Amino acid sequence: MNRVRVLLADDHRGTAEALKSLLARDFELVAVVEDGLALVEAAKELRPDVIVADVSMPRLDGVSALAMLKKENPHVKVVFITMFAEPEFARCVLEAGAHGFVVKHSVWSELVPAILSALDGKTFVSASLAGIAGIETPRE
Amino acid sequence: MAKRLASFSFLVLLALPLKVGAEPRQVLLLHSFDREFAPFDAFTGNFRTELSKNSPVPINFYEVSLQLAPSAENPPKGPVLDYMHALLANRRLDLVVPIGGPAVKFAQKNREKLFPATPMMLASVDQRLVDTTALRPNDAVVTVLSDPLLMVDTILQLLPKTTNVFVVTGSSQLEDFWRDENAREFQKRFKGRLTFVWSNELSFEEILKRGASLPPNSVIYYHLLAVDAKGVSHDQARVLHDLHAVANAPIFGIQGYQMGQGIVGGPLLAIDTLSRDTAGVALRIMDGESPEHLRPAPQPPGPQIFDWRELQHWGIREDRLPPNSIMQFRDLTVWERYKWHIVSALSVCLLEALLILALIANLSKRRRAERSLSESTNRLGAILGTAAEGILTFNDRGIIESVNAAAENTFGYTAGEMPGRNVSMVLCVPFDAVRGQCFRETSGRRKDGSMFPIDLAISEVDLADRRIFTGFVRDITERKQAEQMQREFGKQLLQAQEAERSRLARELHDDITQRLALLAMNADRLDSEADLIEQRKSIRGIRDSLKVLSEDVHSLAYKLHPALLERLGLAAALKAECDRLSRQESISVEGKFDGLPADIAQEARLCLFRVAQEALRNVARHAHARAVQVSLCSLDGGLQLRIADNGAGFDRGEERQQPSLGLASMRERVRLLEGRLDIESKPGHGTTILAWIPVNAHDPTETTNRENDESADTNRNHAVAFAAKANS
Repeated sequence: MNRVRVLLADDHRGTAEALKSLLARDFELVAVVEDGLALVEAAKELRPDVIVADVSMPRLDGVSALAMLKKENPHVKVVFITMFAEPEFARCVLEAGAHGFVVKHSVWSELVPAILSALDGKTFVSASLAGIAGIETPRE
Repeated sequence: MAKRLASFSFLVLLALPLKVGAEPRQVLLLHSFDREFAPFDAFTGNFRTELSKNSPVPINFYEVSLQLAPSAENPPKGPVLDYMHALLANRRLDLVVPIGGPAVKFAQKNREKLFPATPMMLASVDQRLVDTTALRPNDAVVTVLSDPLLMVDTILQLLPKTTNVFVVTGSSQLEDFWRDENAREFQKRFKGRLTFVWSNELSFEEILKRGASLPPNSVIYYHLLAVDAKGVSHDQARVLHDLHAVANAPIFGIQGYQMGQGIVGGPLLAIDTLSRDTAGVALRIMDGESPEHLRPAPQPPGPQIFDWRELQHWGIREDRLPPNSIMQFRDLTVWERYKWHIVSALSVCLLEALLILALIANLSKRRRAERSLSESTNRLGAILGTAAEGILTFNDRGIIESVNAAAENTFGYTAGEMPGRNVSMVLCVPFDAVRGQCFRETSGRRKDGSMFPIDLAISEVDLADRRIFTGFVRDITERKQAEQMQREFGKQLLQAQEAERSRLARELHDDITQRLALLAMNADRLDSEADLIEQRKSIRGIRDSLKVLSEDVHSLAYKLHPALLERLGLAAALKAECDRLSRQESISVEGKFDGLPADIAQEARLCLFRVAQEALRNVARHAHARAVQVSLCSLDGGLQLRIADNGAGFDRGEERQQPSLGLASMRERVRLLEGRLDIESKPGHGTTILAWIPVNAHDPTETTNRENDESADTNRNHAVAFAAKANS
């Protein structure tokens, strides 16, 4: 069976290293980039199934990059990891077309379920935000 | 001798037939002496006039002057009687009038021979001289009754010291009669008291001589001098005149006509009255009345009359005059003569003096008023001249009437250029707007056309007949500049603060929270890899603590600078704030953020967000509210934020005295953007905060904006309004 191909974008080296080991266990990590523009280019080239991206990145932030990613590949699933634990922000991001909104301090336990949920065509929001902003969180 | 001769003349005077168409009456007048002889001349003249005037028919007067010699016992009958017979032969006489004592005596004596059937009227004769026994039925009598005693009594009353009386009289038969008559009466009454000297044996010259050298306490009693001792007839007026010229004693006469000719006066016989009464009797005779019934009582002397000049001359005191005396020829004093002239002149003078006094008083009052006015004007002028504010007055048509030096300087005009021109030349407000009381900031225009900000205060002044306006003008260019600088400085301070906060927030967010998140991640990984349950518990404890720490740091960073504001715009940030309040404080928060312009300047966005943040923080901390409404909308070229709660409210008065730091900061932020902040609150009735700011859309830092999709006119000023209120 083909492994799910994941592209990771995070400008924070430490986080990126930690996430590489986490993602490598279940998915094929096609690349790790450190800014928004690199993400857009890599996605265009590598055509991953899922993109895990930090919201705050140099050159082009994740939310801005989302529209471009969607335009290039409408089927790509994007899961954002972020330090902004803001429900309003989460809603805006999901409305813009993202499939997941995971706050970084829960990423170890929630990122893989979020990716799986996205592959299922569902949306995922960190448990700490679920219910606050009227966002449905699919059950595991 | 001539003395002894009785001479006569016969005169016929034909009166002009005045009354035409009737048979004239024929009246014969018999004169005692010459017809010019006083007093009979006066009597005859009056009598003729009265008779002619009152008679219904013309009267022809025939006059015969007997000119009787003084001592003729009987007039020479022959020639006179013959002549008269001839005269009367062919004439029918209506009335014969003998005048005076001698004529009466002659007529009575010769009546039978001359005019036995003709009515006769005895006239101008003293009662004493009429032979009453010879009166016939055809005779009327009109007499006088002289009163020599009364005269002498009067003399004694006036001059009580009188001892000698020089009686001037002549030597004719008539005068003899009277001398005898008077002497007898005087002797009887004044014997021992007065000495009477008679002049009948003196010539006129001797009489004058005697009259000029009378002893003291003498008077002259002038009776009549018809013919003197030398047989010379005299004119009575002339006699009196000459005697008066030389006399050294006062002269008393008995006839009224003598008044004014030198006599002192007294009870005088009134010729006028006598002649009028006599003419009346004559008319009645000619009318057919019986003459014997026409014999009225003798006429006594008239009232006491005196010549004031004689009294003065002889030193006779007026208080000695009998009561009811009549004073004639009074030499009027200047006062008496010119009394009314003097009174008038004095009145005019007085009036003029009063007028002059009034004018002087008025003038002095006016001078004082003028001086006072001048001082006042000078003082006012000095005040106006040195006043720092420009002051101008103008009328209700806007025409400038006066300006002070400061106003001219302010507007750049030279002295005298502004009066007469319209106030709109220098004040950039419609004239209607400056009528009436007002105080406002507006613009002024200098002579060179440049505009500048001014404070303008207008007040109305009601003068007596019109209304004017005074304007106080202050150039506030420097103040405005200072305010602008202060605002700029404040803005820069705020921006610096915000930038610092933003940097700190980013630092915390991008570094600290990232590292905490990594630690949490590692803890999760350790947890999943650990074998022992105890180890896993410890690791989870560490991980949970890290999560809480991370959230706290995130929250701190957000408070320092709301990253959402830049990421998602004002509406989203406000919504997030509303959600947070609702979540944390269990307050119902209703937010309305529709219809906002597309691009809102960053400083306006931040200002409104901070105001909302502060207002909501106050609601959470102090209001104990159950519900809050937050709305943001476009209004008046700006944005208005409204936050209304239904909480406890507070006392605005206390707040003004001790403003809270939060409200003060809100106010300052709004003021720096030239907006308004209004707070409505009452204890128990919630709080409403209204913040309005004009918004400049051109802000290069505004790149992302998702507030709404409406396109806005970017050339328009945008405003943000923010209000927080608690509904009751």
